[in-house]
Amino acid sequence: MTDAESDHTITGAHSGITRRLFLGSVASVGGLVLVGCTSDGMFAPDGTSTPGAELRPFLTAAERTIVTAIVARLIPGTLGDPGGVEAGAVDYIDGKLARFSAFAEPSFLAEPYVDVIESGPVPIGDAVLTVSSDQLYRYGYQSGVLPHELYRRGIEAFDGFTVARFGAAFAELGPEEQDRALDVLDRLQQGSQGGENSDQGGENTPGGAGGSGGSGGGPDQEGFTEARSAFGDLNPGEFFSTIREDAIEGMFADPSYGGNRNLVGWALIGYPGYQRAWTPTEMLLGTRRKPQSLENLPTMNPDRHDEHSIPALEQPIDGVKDG
Amino acid sequence: MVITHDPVDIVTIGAGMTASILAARILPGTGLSMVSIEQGGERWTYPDFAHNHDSLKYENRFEMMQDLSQVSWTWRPHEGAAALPMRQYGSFNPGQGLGGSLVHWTALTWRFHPSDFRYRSHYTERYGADKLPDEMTVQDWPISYEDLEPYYDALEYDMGVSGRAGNLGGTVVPGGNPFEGPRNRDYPNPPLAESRFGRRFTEATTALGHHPFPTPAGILSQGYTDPYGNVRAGCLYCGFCTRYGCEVGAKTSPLTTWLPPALATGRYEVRTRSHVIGIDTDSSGRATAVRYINSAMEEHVQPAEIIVSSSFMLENVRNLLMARSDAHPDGIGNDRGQLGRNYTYQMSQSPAKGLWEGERFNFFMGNGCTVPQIFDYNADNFDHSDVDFVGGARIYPNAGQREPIGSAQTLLDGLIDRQWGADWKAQLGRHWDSIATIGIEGESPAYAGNFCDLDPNFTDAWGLPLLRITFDWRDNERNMYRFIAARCEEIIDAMGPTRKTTSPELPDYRYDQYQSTHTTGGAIMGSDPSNSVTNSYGQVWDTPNVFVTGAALFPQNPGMNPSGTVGALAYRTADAIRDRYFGAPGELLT
Repeated sequence: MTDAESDHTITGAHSGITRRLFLGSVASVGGLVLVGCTSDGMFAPDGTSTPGAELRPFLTAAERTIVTAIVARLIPGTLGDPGGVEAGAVDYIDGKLARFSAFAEPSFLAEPYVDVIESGPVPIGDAVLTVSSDQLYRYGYQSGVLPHELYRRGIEAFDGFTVARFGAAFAELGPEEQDRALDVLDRLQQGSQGGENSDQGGENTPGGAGGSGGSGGGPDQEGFTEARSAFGDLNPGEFFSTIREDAIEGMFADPSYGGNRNLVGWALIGYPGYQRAWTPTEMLLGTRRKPQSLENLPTMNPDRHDEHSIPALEQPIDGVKDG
Repeated sequence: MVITHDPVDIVTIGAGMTASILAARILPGTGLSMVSIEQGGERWTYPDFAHNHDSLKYENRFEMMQDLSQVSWTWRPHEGAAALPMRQYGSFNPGQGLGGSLVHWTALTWRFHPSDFRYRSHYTERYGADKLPDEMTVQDWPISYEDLEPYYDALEYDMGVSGRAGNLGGTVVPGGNPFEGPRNRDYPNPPLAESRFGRRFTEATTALGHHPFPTPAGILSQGYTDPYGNVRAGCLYCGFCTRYGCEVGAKTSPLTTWLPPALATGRYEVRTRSHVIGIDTDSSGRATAVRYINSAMEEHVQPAEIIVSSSFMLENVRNLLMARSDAHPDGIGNDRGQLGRNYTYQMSQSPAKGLWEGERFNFFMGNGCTVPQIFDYNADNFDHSDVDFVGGARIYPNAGQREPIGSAQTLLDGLIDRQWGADWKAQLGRHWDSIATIGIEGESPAYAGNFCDLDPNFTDAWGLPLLRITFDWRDNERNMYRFIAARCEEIIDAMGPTRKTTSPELPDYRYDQYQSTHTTGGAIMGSDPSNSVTNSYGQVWDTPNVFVTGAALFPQNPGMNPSGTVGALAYRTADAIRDRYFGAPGELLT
């Protein structure tokens, strides 16, 4: 197998769709095929149990340096106070990119895609798919840019932006300038989210919104124009929110996904991890249990084949089968 | 080649909550046969949920949800705007697979208020005809609370609902919901355990003169043997409930409750991984069969006397809209242009958020039902004479099941400026279990401008048009939100947070952020064919051998979760089909 990028035509269920995909590798190590990445962007198994196996990296060494530098500012850490890098969030991100040719979550990728206009009247009609830039956030992800492309081209664009604005590649800037550079992307993203509405949404808010970035005019004191110019047809805010969301996943997901090493993410927030049960007393008074990952969580109703075995209360029943 | 199966008495589209209820209520004691066509796969409490505590897989990657790569729904805020598909999960999360969305649900199990069933009459009688805005198309249900009470009762005992009665036969019982309709008997199980933050909410709201009560939950608070003979275990408060299947079967689902007695008859069959592509009709317009593509990509036809669209609300409306023929040129149930009308939603927001420095609330324990509620500002439980809106919302404290990834993404929104970096990390570490919201679940009245039809631009994996939703909030809801949010701020102030942040105004509806899976209406029930798609049994006026189940039948959406009423309506429909339909097949039930 190779990890060559290629143009690929989706020939799956969505007839007539042609989208440019940057194909990740389907990793094969030691003869063990890990995950069958589907080429049409369908939801692939996450492969939570791949002991001892490694996926071929998606990120190049140079890209990995930049992603590491970004994660180190998003969730800063030291050995004594681990952050995203120490937790293995970069490995998590690379693993996610290597494992999924498109998105890790089920995504509707069929054409057509929306046209966005910055100003002026929006045409009306059933066949018209045009949205003004200040309304786009309400529809969520619509850009059609897949994570491989967003990372590959976004990293390059981000470096281009910091060279233009701060005079050096991102990884070579000092921490304060790095934060200022990230802040430009963050504020572009916030500005695309309908003002106060960006504070709404509760704890289950998916990211990856497809806003087009802030629309403030005037001189480029903020760096918005430079950022937009460096990113071209990519959305800098989408790049920022994607890498932030991925870094958080790498900090706080189960360690079997490659991040949250030694449960440092859960230790940070005081989360005791995956437990089988809590008592009503613990709900009121708290707990002193040690954090536990999925690997150490006992299976409920395990199959036991001895004279003491008690069958699970709930068992499959005949009468259900694939049609 | 098309494979045509032997006819059965009943075929359903989907094998979720209402299909399993029909099977469990109709098949035992009769000789009838039934088949359900289910798009998702087979799954059971054991072994499929035996090791499922994995937030990334279930919360962030939507393991239990309908496969968006195959089919989605488009949305636009109004008729003049472009409709775009939900490309990744946002506003709502319909499920798929055996048992449907009632496997991953949160399990709040309500009865609607008596006044909810007489919406237009109630407001008109109490406040005059001018109280309801002209553009509002709310209407009365063709059925009363009293009609439905025996079915609520049967449902609650089959499910083993845990709760505390507030009104027994007209007598208000302290500690329960004083605003509920009269019930014949108490819940079969006591309330679930209380959470720490919930207890604080109870103290604060009691001091404010409100009436907190425990959430009625379709989750067992203790071991229970249901009327079918299913033996079930009580809740373990594990913290993996919404978006998960329950590994002990304490959360009621079709798998725990209705599928066992239904499948035991030997006359019920579920065909999984099979996607319905159409309802066939004959030249007279009578429905004859369901057509589907099976897991081997073969086309199958299942003829039946009765065809039930028992999918999720959105698919039910789409199923009927797509069933176009010479006899029904605009789809089954649409001969009078009623189909898709009165699409409604649920106002699910968190108007107030607080930080209690140094507190730990143990939010990662418990579930969405281990909290109290107040109904003092729901429905017309408070005087609307001097307010500029109709309707209301239930108000509740932050519930359990805080998961680390999703919470880290947004928990500090509104409390600090920059949602990344050293300060963000330090604050998250210090306060992750000390931050909580006051939430509301509010009504969604119906309007002529909010509706569903077929999308002209987008198709699913089978080349069929997506459903198009046209929906946005109106001034009534903005006014209602402003009033309820102010009550939430009073409550959070009474709970003494160190810091707080509030959202006093209702933001524009947005499709990309999860709010509620309670999409409702679109194939509403009514008193006659001029104001509805079905009668009170969900029987389609213009095609009486087709039935619709579920929340698509709601004329408008009250301020609470729909599943209790979805279930009670399905019980009533099941009994009518079992006892009366086959005496005069194809006739309208009265």
